[in-house]
Amino acid sequence: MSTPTATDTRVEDAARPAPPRRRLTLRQRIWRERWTYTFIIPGALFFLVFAYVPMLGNVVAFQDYTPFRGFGGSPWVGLANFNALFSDPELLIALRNTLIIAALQLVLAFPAPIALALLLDSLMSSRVRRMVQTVVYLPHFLSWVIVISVWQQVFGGGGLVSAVIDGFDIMTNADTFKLLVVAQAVWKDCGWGTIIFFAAIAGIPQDRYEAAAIDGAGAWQRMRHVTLPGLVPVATLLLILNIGSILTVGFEQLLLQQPMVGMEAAEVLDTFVYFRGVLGGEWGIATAAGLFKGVIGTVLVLAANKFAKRLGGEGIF
Amino acid sequence: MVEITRRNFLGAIGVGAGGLAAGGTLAGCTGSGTAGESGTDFAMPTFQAAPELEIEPFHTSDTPGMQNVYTEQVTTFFKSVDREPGSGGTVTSFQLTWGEPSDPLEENQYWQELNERLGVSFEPTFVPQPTFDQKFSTMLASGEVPDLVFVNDQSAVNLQGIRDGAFADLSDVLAGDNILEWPNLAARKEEIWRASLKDGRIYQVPSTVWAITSLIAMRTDLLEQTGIGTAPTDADQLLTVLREVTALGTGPGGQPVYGVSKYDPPMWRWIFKTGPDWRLGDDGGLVFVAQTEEYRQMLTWLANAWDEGVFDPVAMTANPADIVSGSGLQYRSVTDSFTALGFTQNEMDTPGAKMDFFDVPGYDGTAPVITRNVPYGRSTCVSAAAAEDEDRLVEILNVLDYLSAPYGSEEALFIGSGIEGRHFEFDEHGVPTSTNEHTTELGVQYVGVTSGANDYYGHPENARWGESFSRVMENMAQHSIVRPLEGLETESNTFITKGAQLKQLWDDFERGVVTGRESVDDLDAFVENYMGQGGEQVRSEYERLLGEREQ
Repeated sequence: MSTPTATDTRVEDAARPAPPRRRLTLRQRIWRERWTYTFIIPGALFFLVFAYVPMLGNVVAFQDYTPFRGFGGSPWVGLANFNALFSDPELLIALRNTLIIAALQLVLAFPAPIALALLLDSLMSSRVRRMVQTVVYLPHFLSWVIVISVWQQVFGGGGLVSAVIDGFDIMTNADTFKLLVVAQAVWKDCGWGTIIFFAAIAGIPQDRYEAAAIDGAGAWQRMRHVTLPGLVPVATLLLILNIGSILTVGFEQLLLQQPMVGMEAAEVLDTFVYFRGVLGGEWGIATAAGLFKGVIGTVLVLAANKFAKRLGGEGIF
Repeated sequence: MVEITRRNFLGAIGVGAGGLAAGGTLAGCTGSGTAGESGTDFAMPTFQAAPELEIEPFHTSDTPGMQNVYTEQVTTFFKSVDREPGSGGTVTSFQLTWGEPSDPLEENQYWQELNERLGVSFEPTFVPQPTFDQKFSTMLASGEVPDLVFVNDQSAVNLQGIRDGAFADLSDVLAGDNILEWPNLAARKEEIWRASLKDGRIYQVPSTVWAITSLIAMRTDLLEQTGIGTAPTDADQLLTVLREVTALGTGPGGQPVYGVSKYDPPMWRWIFKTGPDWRLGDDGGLVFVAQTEEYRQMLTWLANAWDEGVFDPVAMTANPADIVSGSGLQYRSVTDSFTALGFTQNEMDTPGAKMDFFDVPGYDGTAPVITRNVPYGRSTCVSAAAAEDEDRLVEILNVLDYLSAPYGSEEALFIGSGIEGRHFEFDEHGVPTSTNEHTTELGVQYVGVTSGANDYYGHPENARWGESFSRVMENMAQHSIVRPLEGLETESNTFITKGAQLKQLWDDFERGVVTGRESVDDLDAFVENYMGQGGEQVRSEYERLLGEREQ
């Protein structure tokens, strides 16, 4: 990293032959920056203990595992769990539902906070804006049990809307269930998602708007040519991160609503793992499903990153 | 998902259809039994009845499946344990908790008194009910199994623990007259032990349960307004009654009412006489109930009833509307309606409501068919590691014996209700009634090993329903059957691994047909799918086990 002093003396230095610079080894450089490195330790420990060490548990996917026998006492079964998994018709249902919900979330739920942030940003009164912001943040802090109960009371068969429109009930309709899931997710988390976009909007230099205004750009054009391009780096970053967890489409939300619409509509990979592993005791198959999901997630992140770079963006690594 | 609530647990629930199994050889067990040994090569524990109570039954019965009915409570209590159970050691437990966590020992007079009475330091691990199976697996994975572990052998992961040898084989310790050392443990009949064996051995001390734990209650104030009245005699009349209740719109308190507010499969299976999940066919083989004509008729009728608005639209959700104040018919537990304040409380809570028990009709105008529970409920296992030391095992069993005290004993009163004056007072009927103070101290109570005669002890406030309760239950018992797989349901290896999945598949289809998401015309396709995904294997394993038992 260059400092102001170094920059100032650079021109002068260029006139003289450069003195031979001693190359430091990696170890020496780490030692030199040892105090900086200590700041990494808590974060690194966190990932080590809660992310990397638990990954070792994936060996269960290759074992006939039971908790009491443990990793050491459970026999190895090779790829038997994967064979059982891929010949299981329920996996196909779970995978299909997961992918459909994920795609819908990507198309409908991902842009929602951007749109909301732009909408709120266009509000002139900061007081109104703050109030609306607070209101739209709130659902994020409700648990899924409460969210679904509220939706039930409003859109369910015995709910508010059905009191006006006889027979109205979207909560038990298996055909529209996936859209319902996305709508609930948007309602719950859209407001919360605007925070990061607000920060990005605040980071766009004011002079760009002024310059655009001088050049005759109206409000719509300023949003299109200044604000939106300013949001692209953050949106790309979030999109790549979202794609990594795309197959995690909401465990509690789906588990709670599955009895109403049925497995055919609401079984996803996470509920599949729960039913097989935690309830069914088929730890090997459940872990194999989890591992399968992890591998797909990794491939998607790598692909999305590459794609972002190819489009001229920065990617995240 | 097998759900355990405090209410149905205390009511000693029986075994439902979703059971899983510990099959194969139970290996690696230590303690007094022989590792990996199989079969009943020991004398079943001797039965010794609990002391007789000083109250007279309201109704006595010898009908299999029926218990005596009492409408008054004991007022004098006997002592069931003469010795001090422990000798100063520590006994740990892994037990369910439903409510708030118990107060810590130093602030908890109940716990201190319990330690005093048990003569040990009782150190429970409290496990919230919703996460019991997860925590159970974690406990097993830690390798440190507490001395006394509450076990639900209808859960696959619990059964895995038994199968893998986490718990002691108690067969020889409790065999024959050996059990008389622990009189409260001995106060359970042979059929209870026999039904709970795993691979022919005793790994669990089972609770006694009623053969029939639930019944149908009705709102007579609603049913009396219908053209048929309170006693429909077949499915057509029943549909008319329920339709007309829904048509009332609101009840006396202005609350919305429906024919039925919650979907509870067992009551419909009684009415449509489907019997248990696996029935004996004419050729002696097993038939999956979904393959029977009765089941098809039931689904057809239910789908029609749902379509006609007989059910509350939220009857299938995880949180159905108030099942008492808004429902013409209600599937209720005996505890919830009769032995606790039940109906009396319901009538107080919903002004204008009149409650009564409902005579279950058969769909075709004949009698219903009630499937009895297997004769044991939740159980307690003893850690295999702890049982390696004989003195320690005796101390643990002494403690369990105390905790297993039957109704009418001083010990059961203390375990269930706490300390008089602090946690409860006797009301005018002699019923211990909570003072509603220090209730969090009672979170430490261990209630997993009920014993004794297990009769129906109605709350005295519900005495006016004594007659209708006795009549309805007697009728149900007279038309009750034992499931052919009693004692074998947890022995199919496939059921242990596939049980939860199959149950989910079936439940999903059934609810789908009822709500119109699926069609009853697809029943054959469903059965084929069910059998293909493991049902056929389960059946063949059960048939083999039945054959072995007959020999």
